[in-house]
Amino acid sequence: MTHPSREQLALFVGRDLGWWGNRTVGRHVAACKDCGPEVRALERARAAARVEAGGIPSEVNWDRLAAEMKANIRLGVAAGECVSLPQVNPLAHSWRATVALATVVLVVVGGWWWRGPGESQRAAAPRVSHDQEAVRQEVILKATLGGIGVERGGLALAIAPEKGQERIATASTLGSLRARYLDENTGQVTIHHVYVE
Amino acid sequence: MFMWNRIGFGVFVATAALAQAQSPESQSSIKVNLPPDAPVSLLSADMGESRAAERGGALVLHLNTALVLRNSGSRRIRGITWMVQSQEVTPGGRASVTKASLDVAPGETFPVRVDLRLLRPLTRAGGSMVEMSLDGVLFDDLTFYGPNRLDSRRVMLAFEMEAQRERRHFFHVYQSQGAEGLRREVIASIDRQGAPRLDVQLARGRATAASGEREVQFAFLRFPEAPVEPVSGMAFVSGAEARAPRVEVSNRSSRPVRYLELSWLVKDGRGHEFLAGTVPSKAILAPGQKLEVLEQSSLRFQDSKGAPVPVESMTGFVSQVEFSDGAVWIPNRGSLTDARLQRALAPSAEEQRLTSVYRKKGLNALVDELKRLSAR
Repeated sequence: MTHPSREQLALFVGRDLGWWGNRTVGRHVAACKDCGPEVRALERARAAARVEAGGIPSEVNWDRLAAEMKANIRLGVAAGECVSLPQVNPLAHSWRATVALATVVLVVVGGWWWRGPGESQRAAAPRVSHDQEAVRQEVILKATLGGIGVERGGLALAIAPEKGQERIATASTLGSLRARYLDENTGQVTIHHVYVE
Repeated sequence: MFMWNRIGFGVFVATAALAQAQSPESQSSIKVNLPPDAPVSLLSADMGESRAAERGGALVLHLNTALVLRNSGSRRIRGITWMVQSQEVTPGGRASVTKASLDVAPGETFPVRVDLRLLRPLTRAGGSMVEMSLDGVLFDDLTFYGPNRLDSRRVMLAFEMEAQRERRHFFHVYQSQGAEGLRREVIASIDRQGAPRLDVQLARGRATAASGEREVQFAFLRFPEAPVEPVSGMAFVSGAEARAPRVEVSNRSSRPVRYLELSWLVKDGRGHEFLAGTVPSKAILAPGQKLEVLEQSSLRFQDSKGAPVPVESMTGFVSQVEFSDGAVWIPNRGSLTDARLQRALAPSAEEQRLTSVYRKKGLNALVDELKRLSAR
């Protein structure tokens, strides 16, 4: 039996193969025990990507973080912290502030228009969930579509897989959660753990 | 639309840079701790796709870090573990990323991606946001380098032993049954990989009993060659939640044990059996001694769609033992051919990788891979 390529399956999941392609691959997937699970994994990854997509820009300067990280490694932590200090030119404040404010307005309004109110409501949902966890004051380790994570009192640290990789998760009662991923292209196996101390 | 997304992200980066210049709060940082004598060196660190998103009263940070490392030692690297900590975000919580199944020769480079999401209040104190530290490196002669704070030596060693076990098994099938026998074995494995899996959530810090809770006894699968034998065990079960497992084990080997792990299977009302987790112990267990393993964690089970999976019965078996001299025991392939285990357990990572070689490149490529690895 000739199987569709992984690229064709990915296009099929997005219904991007055209009428005939979708029909042909769909019939194959419905009957094939190898491709069926792969399509379901791609659908889950697609759903996770949709949840992860979007977001309003905030205060973080990623270029600075990258520079600081490299400096930490090469020069030591103290030097890295020096790199992280803001390089502020007082004379540039006024026009930069204006441009920044205008850009923020543009991004926020554009983001609202692009995403629509339904998306905004969904984006607010996690806060309710985390508030509930804070009330319980438990430490929670959980597996989600976006990976595995640790939560406590409304704070969270999660570790995500590379795109499109299917997770196999197991918990240890000693206080850890493990997820295993296989990258079919490189054959590399990645194991993520989150721990409670 | 893709182009618009890119432009949007470009605007975001520019905005964030300007906003940062205005803000005195710029102590956000990632620290990478690499000991001076580490057998790997860092060539580059890229955070190209990192971003931040405001969600209600919280800030979600997506830190997408790609490290490029070089094997600067004299031995081939089989695995590497990085510890990730964020005291500010999750006091007491930490994570790790292990790259297993590597085969990196001295002087060669390899990538490690670490994609993190942090949720924290918008207002926060200064200080490091995330620290990444090398926890260990496993070499091809199964020796280890590193502080091993996360017990990564045992994790990577058990993984490598499991991988060797699977390669030996598939190569033996090829030698004894030929290419067609190997194909049948691989197809049977692919079939098992489609079985539904359980999602599990672990909670710590709650000791109160849930209403309608009942005591459920463990049934045990006993492997003749296992150095540790389960004797008895129970857990409190309420619906889709099991808590406070208690298991008595006995060391029947002649060597002291410093770590043991009991795998925990649960069966739902429809008779489906799943791997729920493990019940480990780090206590020293002398030869002939018995030990009661007791943990206060709660496990909640749900299927892949998020529906609770009520627990009807439970089974346990010893799945890993580490002796005090550092040697590790895992079950042999024969023990795992039990029909129940075949249905309930996910195939090992190496089995999954080998069957993926078959699916993507065909039988001949798999045979070549097995021959190459067995000659090593």
